[in-house]
Amino acid sequence: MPISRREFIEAAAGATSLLAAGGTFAQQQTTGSKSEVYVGKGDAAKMLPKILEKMGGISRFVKPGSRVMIKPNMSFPNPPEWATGTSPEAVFAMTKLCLEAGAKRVIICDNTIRDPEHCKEKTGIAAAIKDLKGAVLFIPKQDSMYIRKSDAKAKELREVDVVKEVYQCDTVISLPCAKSHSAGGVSLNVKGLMGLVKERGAFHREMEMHTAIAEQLYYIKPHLCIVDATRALLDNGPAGPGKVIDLNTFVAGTDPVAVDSYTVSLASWYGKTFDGKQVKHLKLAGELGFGNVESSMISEVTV
Amino acid sequence: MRTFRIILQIFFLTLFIGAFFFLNTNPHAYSFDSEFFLRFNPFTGLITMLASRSIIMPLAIFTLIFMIATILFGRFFCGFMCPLGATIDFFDRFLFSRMRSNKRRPPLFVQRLKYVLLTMVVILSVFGVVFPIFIDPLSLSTRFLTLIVHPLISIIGIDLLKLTSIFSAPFSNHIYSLYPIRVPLYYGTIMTVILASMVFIGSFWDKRFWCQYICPTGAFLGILSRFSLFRRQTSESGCNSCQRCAKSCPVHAIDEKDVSRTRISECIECGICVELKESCSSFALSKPSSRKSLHPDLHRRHILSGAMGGLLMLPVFRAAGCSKNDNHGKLIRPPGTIPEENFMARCLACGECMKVCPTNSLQPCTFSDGFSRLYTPKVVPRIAGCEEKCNLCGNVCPTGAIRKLPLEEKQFVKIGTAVLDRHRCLAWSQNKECLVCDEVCPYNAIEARVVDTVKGRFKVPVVNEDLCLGCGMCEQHCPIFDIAAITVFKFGENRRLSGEYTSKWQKERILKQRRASDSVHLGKSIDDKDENVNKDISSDGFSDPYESGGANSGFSDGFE
Repeated sequence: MPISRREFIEAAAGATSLLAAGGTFAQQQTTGSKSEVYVGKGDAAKMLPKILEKMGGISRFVKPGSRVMIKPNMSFPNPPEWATGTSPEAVFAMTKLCLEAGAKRVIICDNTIRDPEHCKEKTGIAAAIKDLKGAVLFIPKQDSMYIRKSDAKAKELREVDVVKEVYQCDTVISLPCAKSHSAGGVSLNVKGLMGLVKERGAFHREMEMHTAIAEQLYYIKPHLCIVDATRALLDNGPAGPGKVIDLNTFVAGTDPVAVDSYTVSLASWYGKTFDGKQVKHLKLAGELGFGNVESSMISEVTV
Repeated sequence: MRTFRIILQIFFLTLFIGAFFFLNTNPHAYSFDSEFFLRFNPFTGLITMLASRSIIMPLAIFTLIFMIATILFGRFFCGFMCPLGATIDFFDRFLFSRMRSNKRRPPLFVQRLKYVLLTMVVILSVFGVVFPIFIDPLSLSTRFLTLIVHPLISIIGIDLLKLTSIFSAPFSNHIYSLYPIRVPLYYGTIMTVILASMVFIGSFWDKRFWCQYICPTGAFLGILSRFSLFRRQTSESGCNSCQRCAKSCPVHAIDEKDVSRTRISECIECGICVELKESCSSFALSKPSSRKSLHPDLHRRHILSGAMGGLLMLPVFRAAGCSKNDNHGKLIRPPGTIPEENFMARCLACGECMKVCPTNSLQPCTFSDGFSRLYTPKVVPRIAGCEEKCNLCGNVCPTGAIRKLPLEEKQFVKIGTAVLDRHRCLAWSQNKECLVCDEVCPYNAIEARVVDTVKGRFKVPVVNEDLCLGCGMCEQHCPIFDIAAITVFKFGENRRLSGEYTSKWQKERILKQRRASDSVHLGKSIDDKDENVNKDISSDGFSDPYESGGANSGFSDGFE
């Protein structure tokens, strides 16, 4: 069927406006109404399925035959007890859930700071997912695995190299651990996105770091955010060793800022209790409209 | 016999290359000596033990075995086992065979050269110096594999992946996640390529040029095989003096005037002469008889000239290590390296340590580090830091130049000290949020403190030299371009020939400090001497404490 130029332009314009409308709608949804945060205490193997069931089932996020990216914290080759990385049990449980929901492939991806092979082994994540067919650990260390993105809305992070795979996956699940961070205050969902960025030095060198961290959400929008607060590293983060407490909690939601903000209130960081909006990058992310940072705008759902 | 030899050559070459590529590729598990092959050469064992005046244990056993075997069976090592010899044979056959002409063959007496070089090397080692550039075909081969072949193959591999990613990025990423290819790159590649081509280009003039005229190992094995019992024999009746055996011998070991006489020290037992005609000659066990063998035409002056050469070379080697400002403070040796003088007496510059280094941090020394240190390993922290949970370089060292250290011990070995340049540091000089060095330090040697900088109060990194091991993670990750704001220098390095690096008491103290340095974050300094330690360091990164009503009030208000 031949399409005339006029028809094509009309169709394209229509599609674009529809997409744009969809985009603004999505934006409004997170800022206008309250964000739900699902909190549960217990084992990863038991709690994660429960939480997702409460959120409307894993099928809401993972469609059969889709590609799923899970972004854990695995930058440092430390044992899980140090709480510098996502616990292997949580990664295993989440990967298994996705695979059971029919995901074709689950890509567990983090651009580690330290040597990738050591990080894979010492965090226990490689061993945990070894038997899951369809799950791979992907540590992008080649330039060709990144794509340069830019966004006109961003003030500081005007362009950034993001792992290509982010845009090739149907679902991006952020699964960080709860830990403190020397420069960022805490390192949770929003800060954790730096693990999908190639050159992190520029954040410190050329930009106002907190804004740049928040503005990552222009480029990477996790569909599901779960904080693995099995343990929390309360100080000396992100590399440890520091004070670790067992919280045995999982915090989940679709709004990364709300999930982070709620998690901040769970523990006392550096010996003090903080409100989510006291964390600079979370506050900025809230102001930029990526989610709700005010505790009054977060409704807690206990699972 | 020739077929048998070629099969064995291919077998040993495969073994050698296989061990090189497939052993110890997993950086967190030391599997098996990938360097076992490097011990097969008795000459290097002898030289390193002579130079270091010590018995290096696993090496000594191999040295003894191979010396006895050479005395009994001659230069079988050269003909059957040497991977460099096999590679030279390969090039001789497939690359240089057309170009070579007998007219260009050097005169026979040039074969003496290798004995002169042997004397030189021995004299040097008597004075405690190993000249590793060319003495050992095994370390040469390992070096070429490490510095040329391995990078080449991985670059080709990764570029193929890039090509496939044009068609299907998910597929190429999937392959990469299953087989993550590491691309190691090394200093002085062109130098190494020139060195390698110097080894192989000789085939243009003669077969096995390197082995015949230069290789000191070959000379040493030749001398040992003087009394070998396994040697070429000719049958008196079958020989019609056609001289074909003498002409076809690749190493000119058969006397052209009397083909029944063999230069036994040159014969690599390749079996080509036997293949020509079954009835003429054979290899068999026999008593050494002077009538049937020729010995190298060496005179006192050749030995003396070699010795003189060695003595003349000595200042060159000493010069590189004697002056105090010899190495710009950046010659950081890998952890477990024995003291420099002992190290130079042992290191073969084989490059095995550089090959197994998972971070590509180990690089060959270049001319700027001194001529004698060429190709010995150094840590280049700007390329990558020394991985905390890895001790492979010491595990694979064939001569013990880098000690085999257990991982727990290695995590207390200081190889240098990080120095922070406040004028370059983002936090110190520009008051920008950056504590990357603190983030990545595996030993907690960098503290974050709130101090008065020239531009105001700010959270800055401070090095704790007691805890710093000089691994260089900070230098690698420092976001400043070109020269990092925090650099590792070699002062403070802890190098020992034997014994523990730190006392038990020190270890306990260091461990306590590594754990305790978070007390700084909690508002306590380690020794409480520094008044600049701010009680509210914790609050930085959270919204600004100085805006909202003073350091102590800002946070607890809303909650209590």
